[in-house]
Amino acid sequence: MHHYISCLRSVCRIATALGLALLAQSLPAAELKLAATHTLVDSGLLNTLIPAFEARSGIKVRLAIGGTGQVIRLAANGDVDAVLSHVKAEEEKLVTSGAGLKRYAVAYNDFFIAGPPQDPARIRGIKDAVEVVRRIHDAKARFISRGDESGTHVKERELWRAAGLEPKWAGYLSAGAGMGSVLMMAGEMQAYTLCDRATFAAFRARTGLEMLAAGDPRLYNEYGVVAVNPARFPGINADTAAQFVSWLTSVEVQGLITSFRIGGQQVFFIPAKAR
Amino acid sequence: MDILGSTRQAFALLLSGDAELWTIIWISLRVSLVALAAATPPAVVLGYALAQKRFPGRRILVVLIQGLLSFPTVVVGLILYILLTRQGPLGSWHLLFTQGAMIMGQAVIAFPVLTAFALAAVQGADPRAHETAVSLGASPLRATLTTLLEVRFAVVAGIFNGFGRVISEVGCAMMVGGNIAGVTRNIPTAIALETSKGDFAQGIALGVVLMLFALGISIALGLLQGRGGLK
Repeated sequence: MHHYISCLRSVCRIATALGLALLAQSLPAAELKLAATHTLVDSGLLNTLIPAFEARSGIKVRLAIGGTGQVIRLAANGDVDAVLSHVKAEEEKLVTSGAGLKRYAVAYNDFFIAGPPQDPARIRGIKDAVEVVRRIHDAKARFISRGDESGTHVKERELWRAAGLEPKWAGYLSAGAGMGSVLMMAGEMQAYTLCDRATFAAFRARTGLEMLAAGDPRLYNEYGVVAVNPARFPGINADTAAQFVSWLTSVEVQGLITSFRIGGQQVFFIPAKAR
Repeated sequence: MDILGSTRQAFALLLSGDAELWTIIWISLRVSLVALAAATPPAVVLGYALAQKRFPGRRILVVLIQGLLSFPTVVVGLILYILLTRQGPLGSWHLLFTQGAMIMGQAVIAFPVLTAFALAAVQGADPRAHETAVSLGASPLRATLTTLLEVRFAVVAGIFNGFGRVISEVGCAMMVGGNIAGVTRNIPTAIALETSKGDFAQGIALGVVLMLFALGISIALGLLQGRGGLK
């Protein structure tokens, strides 16, 4: 009998602890719902920035990850408080439509074409990205497209359009996945793909792919941040969003971004107009 | 988001014979049917052996099969991925991100369902069928076939259940298939992708097809039970 009571007592104690933990979870702590693109997460940059912001501000960040098309839509619907993406036109559209407040440039790097070391389409060292995709097309080589309306996908489509080519052959595969997944697939299938410098560096060891064709100015890749407009969506965390944006564009964070290294390499840079 | 508008668009897509949509449906059906065709014969043989024969390790196998009924499909995906990756033991087969890999995954997922149904069916069969066949001079193989013929409705019910499990499975299909458009994109992975893109019309259209499959299966099962006299 005594045994049961002590048992019951410890059950009660555990239940109380659980209850308190739940309560603590549901207490309205300051939070920020942030939507960000795959490349920022897959590269590891946000794993550095978000804890730093949380430690500095005491604000809890809830992260939604998607392609640029998707995260822009989250912001346009008022489902998040701020958005980080890399299609400037889309970010500006968010602002002009009234769903977003103002766009700030945060960081930049570049895209390039990565592929297997054997390089079946012979693109190594070619600077002109349009010539590169033409060669891949003509060689009917395997190419994996993000296919997810992401910033990288948008950039890839720009290249096909500039080359005047329809990317439609058996080896052109549309994956509908994030940058990291697509790099893993390209490594597995020994295929070419368009990728950003940071995610490539983060996945290089796992994929065995090489940076084959880089340096075309068309492949400039700039990340921007937009806070969602509280006048349009009164329910959002406008306060924390504003704090995040001003923190993200501060000199301190620019230092964090430029000192972020993958394999000893700097993979993000600060745009001149953000300085 | 406009639910009504998306739904209307979804039915328009379905009825207009949208090529991309029907390709996805066809890939789903093809992969699942081939997987079931591959998994059913060995599963039925194993189910029959577990029900009729006594051998060491039998009980462990029965428990294992029952446990595997609820085996997480993403773990099947993980194991297959490790086996099929270029550096993996089966890497030279170049199967990762092909329909072949998806078929393997679905066959593995369906196998315990098929086995458990066959096992239960044979255990529940009237033993006189087997005895009569033997006493009439049937060979062991012939007697086995007689028993299986006797329980064919329950075995087919197992196949329908297995189909229900694999046709709607997303984890393994996504991991080893890669959700490549026109190649390994099936109904569940397409729905996941379309939703993540915020493109609801195609997701709803495919969801409708998937639910029609489920409804079709349960109607077919109902008819079977009527015909087979199952309790």
